[in-house]
Amino acid sequence: MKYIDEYRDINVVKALTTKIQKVVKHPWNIMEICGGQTHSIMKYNLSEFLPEQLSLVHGPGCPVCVTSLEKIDKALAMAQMKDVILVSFGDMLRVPGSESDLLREKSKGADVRMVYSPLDAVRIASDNPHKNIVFFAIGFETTAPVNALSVIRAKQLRLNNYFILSSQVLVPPAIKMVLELEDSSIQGFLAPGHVCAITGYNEYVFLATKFRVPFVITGFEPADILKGILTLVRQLEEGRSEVENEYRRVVSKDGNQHALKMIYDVFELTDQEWRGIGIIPESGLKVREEYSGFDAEKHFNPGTVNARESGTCIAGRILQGVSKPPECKAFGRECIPEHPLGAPMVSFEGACSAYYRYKSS
Amino acid sequence: MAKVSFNGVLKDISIEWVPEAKVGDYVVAHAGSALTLLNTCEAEETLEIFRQISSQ
Repeated sequence: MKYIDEYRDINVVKALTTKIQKVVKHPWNIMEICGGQTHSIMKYNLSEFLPEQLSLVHGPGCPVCVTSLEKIDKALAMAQMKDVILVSFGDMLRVPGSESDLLREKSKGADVRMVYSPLDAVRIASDNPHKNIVFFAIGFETTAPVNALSVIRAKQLRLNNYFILSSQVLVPPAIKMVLELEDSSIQGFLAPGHVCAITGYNEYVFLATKFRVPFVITGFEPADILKGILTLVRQLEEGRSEVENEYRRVVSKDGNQHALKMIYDVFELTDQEWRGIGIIPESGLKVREEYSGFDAEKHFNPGTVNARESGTCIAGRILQGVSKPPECKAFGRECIPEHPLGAPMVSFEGACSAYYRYKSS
Repeated sequence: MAKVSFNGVLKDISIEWVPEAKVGDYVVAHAGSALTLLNTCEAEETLEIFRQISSQ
């Protein structure tokens, strides 16, 4: 496909890795925040092309992985309610809750459906006026605008049977959390291209200045990621801590203001629990009071659920970039994509799933 | 809404936040909506940088 294949050219990949090898003089730990980038790094085996001094650490940017157990248990409780159709993205259906997962509830008779877009969930609500539709809205700043749009569409259509269960998270507070960890070793970041397409990168300039760490915004194709690493390593070797944009075909400094406005018309900041990590202040988005009629938690009031994690899974340490998947005792044994113990083994963007898929052999 | 071709597969995608999109443009689409227009001048410039690096 045009403007994709060119960025996968093996000759460009080879030339960029040669260049990186020439520039690297010291050992560096760099984190890619976004799970989509983790997936590409594993799929194209990019770490094998890089000099030994460079260590790529995988960040918490997998929305399915960081959705709290409590929200998943609430989704499970709502799926079991009479006349509810529970709708979400495919990966969410397989993530283990305390006792069950959405796919298992579906096999027991619950009406659980998978969609490609939140706008499809609005269509299901309009086609099923006698049912209550709960859309389990997960995602980062890339998905928040279309989650917001779904609420606005439901309002325009005067639907009173469309609700969202919001578990939306923001990248900059997670970066701050990683940098403030006591055992954090991260010296530079590849910033997430598609999140920045919406938000722009002014907040990253603030983080770079405050914590004196460099950021390079990159895309998702192998040449994009390697060009990002090259630019980041140059900054590290020269002792700079700036924000540079290597995804200029998609990202502008101020992002997409129309989309940003829609996010904050419908949602507002909230302290959010990240699975395996804990509560990060003002790192999530909840439904504003004006739209509370669309808020599933307010309408169905599932109460408090007693969430319990599996004992062996080390997803939290993996999501914080402190451990890598093969360090987990369960990895590839009790925990595989067909029966995952933790969310990073479920999602396409999860580090465990990416390692299992591309590194197990 | 707009018809977007994903390598030949057509999908209806919301262009709510890219009102300037015209027929023939490239967009970055995610979960049923276009996040932004692809800036083809910048895309070509990056490819030119890649060509220069490859020929060194």
